[in-house]
Amino acid sequence: MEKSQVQISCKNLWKVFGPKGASLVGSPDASLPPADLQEKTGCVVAIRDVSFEVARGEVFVVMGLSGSGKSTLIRSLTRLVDVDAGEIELCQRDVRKADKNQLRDIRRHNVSMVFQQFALFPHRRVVDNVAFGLEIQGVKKADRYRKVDELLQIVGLSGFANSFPSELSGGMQQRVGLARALAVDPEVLLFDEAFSALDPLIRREMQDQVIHLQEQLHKTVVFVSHDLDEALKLGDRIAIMRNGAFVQVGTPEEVVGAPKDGYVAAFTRDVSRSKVLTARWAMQTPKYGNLSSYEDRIVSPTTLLQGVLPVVLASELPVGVVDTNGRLIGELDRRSVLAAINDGPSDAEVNENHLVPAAANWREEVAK
Amino acid sequence: MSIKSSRALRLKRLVRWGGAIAAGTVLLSACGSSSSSTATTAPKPTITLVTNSWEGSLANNVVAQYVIEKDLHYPVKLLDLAEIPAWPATASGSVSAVLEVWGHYNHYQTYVVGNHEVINAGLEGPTGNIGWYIPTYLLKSHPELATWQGVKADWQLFVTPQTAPQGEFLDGAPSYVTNDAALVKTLGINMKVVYAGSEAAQLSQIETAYKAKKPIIFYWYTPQYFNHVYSFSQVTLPPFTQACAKLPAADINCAYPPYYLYKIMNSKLPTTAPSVAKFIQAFNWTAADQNSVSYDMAVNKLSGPAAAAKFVNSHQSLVQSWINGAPTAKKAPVLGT
Amino acid sequence: MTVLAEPNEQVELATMPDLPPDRRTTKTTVSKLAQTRWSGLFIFFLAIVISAIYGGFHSGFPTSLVPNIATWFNSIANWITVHQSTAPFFVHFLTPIGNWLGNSVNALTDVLNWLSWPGVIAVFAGTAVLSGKWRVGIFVVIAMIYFGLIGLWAASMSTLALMSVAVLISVVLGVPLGIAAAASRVVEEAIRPVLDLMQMLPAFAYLVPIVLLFGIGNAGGIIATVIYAIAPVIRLTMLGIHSVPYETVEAGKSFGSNRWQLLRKVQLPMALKPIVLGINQVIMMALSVVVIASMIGTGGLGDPILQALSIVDVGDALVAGVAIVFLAMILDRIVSAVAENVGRNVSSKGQRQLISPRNLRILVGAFVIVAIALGNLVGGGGSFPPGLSLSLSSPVNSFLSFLQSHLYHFSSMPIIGGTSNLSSFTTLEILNPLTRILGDIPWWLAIFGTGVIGYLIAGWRRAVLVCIGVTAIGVLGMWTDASVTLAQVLIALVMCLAIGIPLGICAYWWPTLEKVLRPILDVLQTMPAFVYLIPVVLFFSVGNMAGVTASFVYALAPAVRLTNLGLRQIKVDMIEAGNSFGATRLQMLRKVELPAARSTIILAINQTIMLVLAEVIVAGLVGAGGLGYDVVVGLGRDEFGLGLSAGLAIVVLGIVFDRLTQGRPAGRRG
Repeated sequence: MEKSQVQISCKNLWKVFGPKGASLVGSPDASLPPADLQEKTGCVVAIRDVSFEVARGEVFVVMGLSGSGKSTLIRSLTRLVDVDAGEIELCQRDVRKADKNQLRDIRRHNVSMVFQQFALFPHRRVVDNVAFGLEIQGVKKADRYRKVDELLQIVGLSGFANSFPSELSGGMQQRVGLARALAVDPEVLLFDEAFSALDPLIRREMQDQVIHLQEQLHKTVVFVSHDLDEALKLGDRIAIMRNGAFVQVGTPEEVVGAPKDGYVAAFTRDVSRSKVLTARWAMQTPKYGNLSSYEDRIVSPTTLLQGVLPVVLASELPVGVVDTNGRLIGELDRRSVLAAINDGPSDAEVNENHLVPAAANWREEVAK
Repeated sequence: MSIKSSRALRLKRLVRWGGAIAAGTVLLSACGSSSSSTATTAPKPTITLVTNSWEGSLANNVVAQYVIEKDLHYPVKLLDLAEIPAWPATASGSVSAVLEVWGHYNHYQTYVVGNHEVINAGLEGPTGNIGWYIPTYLLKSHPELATWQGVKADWQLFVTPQTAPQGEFLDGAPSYVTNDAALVKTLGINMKVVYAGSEAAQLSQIETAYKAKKPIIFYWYTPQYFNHVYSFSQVTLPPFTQACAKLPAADINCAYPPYYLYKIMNSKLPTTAPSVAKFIQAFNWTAADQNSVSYDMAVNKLSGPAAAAKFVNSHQSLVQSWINGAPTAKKAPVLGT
Repeated sequence: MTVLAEPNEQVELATMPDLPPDRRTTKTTVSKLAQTRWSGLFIFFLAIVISAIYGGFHSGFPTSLVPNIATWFNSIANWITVHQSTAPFFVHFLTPIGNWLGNSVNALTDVLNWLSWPGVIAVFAGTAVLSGKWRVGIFVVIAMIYFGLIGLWAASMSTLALMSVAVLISVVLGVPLGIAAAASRVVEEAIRPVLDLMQMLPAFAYLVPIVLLFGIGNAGGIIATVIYAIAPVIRLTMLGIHSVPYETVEAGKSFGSNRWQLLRKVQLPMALKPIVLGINQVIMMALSVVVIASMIGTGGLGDPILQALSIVDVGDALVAGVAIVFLAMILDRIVSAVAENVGRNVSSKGQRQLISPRNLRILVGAFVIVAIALGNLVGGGGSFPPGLSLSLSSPVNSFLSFLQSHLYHFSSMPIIGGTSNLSSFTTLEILNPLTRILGDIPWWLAIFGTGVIGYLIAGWRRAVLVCIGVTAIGVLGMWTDASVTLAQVLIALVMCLAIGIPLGICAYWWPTLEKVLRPILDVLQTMPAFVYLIPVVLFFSVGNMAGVTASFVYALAPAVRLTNLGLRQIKVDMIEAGNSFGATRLQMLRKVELPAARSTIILAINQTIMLVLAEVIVAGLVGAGGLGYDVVVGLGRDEFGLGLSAGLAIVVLGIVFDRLTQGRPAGRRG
């Protein structure tokens, strides 16, 4: 990634909760498995040596079960939680070294957050909730209201400006939360399990809305979630987090198609691979050099395997994969497609991997 | 008026919109200081008289108020106040005078003898007579109860659940210094003192016993208008002597000393309101006079001014002597009162 | 007192068997716990034996351990008396403050007088109506006309002015203090014991120094009222700010709010409800010291009560007492209405209204102006027309003497006899023996015995605190009187719980009963205790039974209310679960509802004890003796030291009881 393209950069972040937590960073105790560590020191490692970069316009999803440290991580980006060690750079500004005023400035202008329980202000009408960030910045009332009008239209809530949050449904409340975050026109948007508290249908609607908005606005997004479908749907890249550390970082295809270990595999095993993996993932070197030999059996590399299947199944002959420039880059046949779709780990494998004390695995990873 | 009204409107608006509360305080204090500064330019200061918790004190005050307002043309305010705070209040001038003081040797030493902030305004007239009393009906069946020896013999009459197996002696309001616990002990009477805790409680208890014609013995005093409503008799105790007064509190074995009720006033009153100071120093009446006014108010339910008017109209020459007469004799309270 | 108790070992022990048996840590915890428990009890036992050898079996606290604290307190008061008019701190600091306070009350009284009586009624009723509370408006009109009809309009206005200023000052000082305490643990820890002290120390105990420092009248009255009443607004502001959801605070922070913006735009508005609750409690507590304030010359509604007492006229006292109750209710309802209107989180859109808000505002404004004009031109200004008056006192008095003649004596009622018999029985058979037993317990046994009890129900730290507290009572020289008071407090507590909890349950079963009880409890709690001094004596004779009865009457309300509240707060599904197994009403109560309401009921016990202790002074006023009488004597006889020592002993008793009864509720988790 080019330097100017990097919007968020974190290096070796550590956060330890508990008595004298900070002193634990870098000590040999830090590599103990969580249960032993808690027994011995009473500490819990929430973020364990995490490093990552997010490019401008990218949607970076942090995935993990509850207690894996993902909420702490997203909060540490704006220092709602202070990490114990590491570097954080946000929009070319050093967050950890920022003094009170600089930090306030970052929070006011560079980044805003959408919360799991919406965290709306119940005593303010919708309009004043959305305008909150602008109000804090000191923008004049007329100006902020003009901006709010615009945003409410975007999230589909015009007409509700004068309602109180308690009068809205959950989905509508989170739209207010989204509008509130967008109102300050931040470069970076943080979503903390933003849609977890919503009904499945509403959740899907909100996800679509985010995708739609992202197409127009191209914000840099960090999205924390425990829902794999959501991660796969929204994420350009996904980080799987466990016990405070990143287990795997990669595109949805990489995570689903090549899980790094049993833990990730167990996570992704129920995903319908044909809906995640693309032709590019399953293709082999083409047998024929020229495009014409594939006749009309051609797919693009980004076609999902579920879209390829009917073509592959229609005949015994291989299918060509052709990029946007019309160049042949690979071919697919029945065997390779079915293998890609069925290549998930077996139940036995998953269970076995799952039961192995994680310590050994992530000690290696930490060492890396 | 116009300034005031605009302020009041502003205040109202504040209330209506639930606005800045603190601003209200500032506003109020501003109003307050302006109104108080106009008050000091008024020619005649308000005379403040202390009303203590007994009815006789109120009787003194309503009559004095009537005369001061009608004949001396000073505004008068009656202030309900406990006995103790009345002393520093008189010293500081927030109170002009107290027309009936019982004893208070210590305060007298501090404020009258000590820093001269309070003046002894002479005797009020009645003599406070503190002692042991019983309802008169008891004497019919038990004539021996007229003396303490009789009480000592008949202690069983006064046994109550509260004090069983001893007899009960009912003590009065907590602000009066009483020797009854010591007396019961030194005179060898098989009784226990119960402190009623308030005069209201004591009176209610006496009334209940009185209505049922039950035996009861209690600490009491004259002048008190209740003596007009009910008939009480005093029990003779060993006579008061100076030697006895000097004994430690727990060893006292004689009757209470007579209390020469007196008046006090702020030391600046003679300069700020000379005619009132003169009136207060001359004010003097009898226990019967006071009781009649108290009775009119408490039992006949006359208002204060009405009871005062009734008394003043029927005692014209007495009232004239207060306005034009000489100050009454002075007598300082003695140790032990 | 909202301290959360620390984890409770006993309950932990009880719930242990529920955990999986194979967990190693569980076993060690249990055995460790058992060990510390036994060794703890052993230490107490040792302490008892050792002090028994030293102290012998004498009752009473050893005089050698009692320093002359009262004399020391007295010398402070004397020093103030001597220097009051000369020391610069008094002359240039306290006196101006006193004057300023006095002036602000006078100014407010002037404003009220200028408004005239129709104007005052219009302003208050109008405020209620503008806040959308028509019913409150109607109540205000009726209650205020009552002030006039009983001839106490002027007295009511002067009390209203005094109380408004006192409440305002409490809020202006209390809210920032609460914010500071919420922001800093250190401040919170420092403030908490001071609040306990201010709330529990009887006002009687510090009236004299206040008069010396600030003078008589409104200034002293305000200071005394603020000291007594400010605690709830501090506590509830703190609580309110703590109870703002953490995520919302984070949301505020994440937009870059600075501390002040966060406080003003997020925390304070969201804590509005608890703060208003705190202000309402301040109002109630302030109104309960109206009569005491009258003793130092504030005038107002306390005066007619004191005067009525001096001529034993219950009717007069009751009529004025009801006025105080009404005043408390007016202020309470108006503050709630305005706050609710300001903090309403529902838009008015969609509600059907007869008049638009704007027109209503104009209408009310016009009404107020007309009322003021009418009052000043026709109605005779500030005072209520004397022609319109109502005499309520004589019917009340005749009703009371009727009651007394029918209830007091031996044959009045079947089986239990009259109240005099009831009183004799309780005094002879329960109160006197209990007082004797408590008085005869050797001091060391009392100290360590309460320590053991404290240890068993609330753990180590509390046990030590309790031991220190009981010792302090002895050191204050209040041992004997405290045992007299303790006996009464215990009996009053038992009576309150024995009657209050069943009443609370009945009110839960029959909502109609609850509706009937609510205003009665309101009145019992706000009616100044001075009003029922006389009736209590009429029925129960001067003595400790009268004291117990007065305390019982005053402290009954929280026992009923909180029991009822605890039961009504139980989640519906829990009750449905119970019913689905076919439980009878009594089974439901015993096995589901009472256990579920346990923590609230324990809170009820805690609050009842606090109120009973607050009423110890009144017990002293009706001949029950003990600490209450000492405090009363302290004021009445200028024995400041005695009064303050006894007052502090009451505070210590309160803290001991509070910490003991708080030990349990936090125990059962989940």
